[in-house]
Amino acid sequence: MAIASSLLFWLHLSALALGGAAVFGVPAVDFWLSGPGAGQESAGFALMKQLTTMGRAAYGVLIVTGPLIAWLRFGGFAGFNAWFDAKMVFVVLLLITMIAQAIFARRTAAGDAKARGMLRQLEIVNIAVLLLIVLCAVFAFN
Amino acid sequence: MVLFTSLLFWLHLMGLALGGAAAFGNPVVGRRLVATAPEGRPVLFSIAHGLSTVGKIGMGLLILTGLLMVWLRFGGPAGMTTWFWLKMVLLVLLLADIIYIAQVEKRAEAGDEKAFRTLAPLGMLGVVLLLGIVLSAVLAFG
Repeated sequence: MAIASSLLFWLHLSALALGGAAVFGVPAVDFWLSGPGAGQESAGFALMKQLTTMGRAAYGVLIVTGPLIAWLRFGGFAGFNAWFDAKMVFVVLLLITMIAQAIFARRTAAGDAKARGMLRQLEIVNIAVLLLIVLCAVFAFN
Repeated sequence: MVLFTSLLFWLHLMGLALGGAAAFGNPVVGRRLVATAPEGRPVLFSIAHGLSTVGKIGMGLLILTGLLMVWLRFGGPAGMTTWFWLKMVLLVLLLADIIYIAQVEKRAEAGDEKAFRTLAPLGMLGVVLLLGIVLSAVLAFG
């Protein structure tokens, strides 16, 4: 059982790294598009789409392994502190921003300049939410 | 001190997510590079440089916070298990891989096709090493 929960925790942390490719990679590509990559929108957007897909896969792995670790290591969710509850709120918030990002990405692809601005703001929000999720996790389990 | 080491651990995990942006993001760029004609490659190389910069910041954070935590939480590396030392070996290998990739990338950008074809396996090696580092960290620290 200890090996199973360690392997799950490994998958959880690996998914955090994979998610980093989307949360930090997409703004990095977007930043590049607004500077040296200006005029290379098709290449930039295609990469951002692929990185976002990786981020969704990572989110899925985190959502599956998280509860499994909670049950195997801690016997369930009872007894967790307020940091854990805060983490869950931010996890839901991240899901909402990911859905909003997908909607605004589609609008941006259709040429909506306002949606493009929203997309950039959501990239920053995603970074902030990820920072808060990890911070809450550290204080909940550390 | 507990608060300080918790914040260090938070930064350590954020370093992992930043590192993931390069480790998982650059192979995505690499796949596009292979499918792109030589004249279109400079654009994609500049994106790869951007992601590598994000990854280097992550790597710096991981090394700095890792060292501080080993001393502040465990009083130094004495008494660490084999998994910890395996993690250190893999970390050195990952650093060597990152340095070598930067050199090969320069040659590939200058038009060296052999160097260009070497980039993908080196990138995949980086992913494998990162996953190995995370696995040995989980088994070393629980």
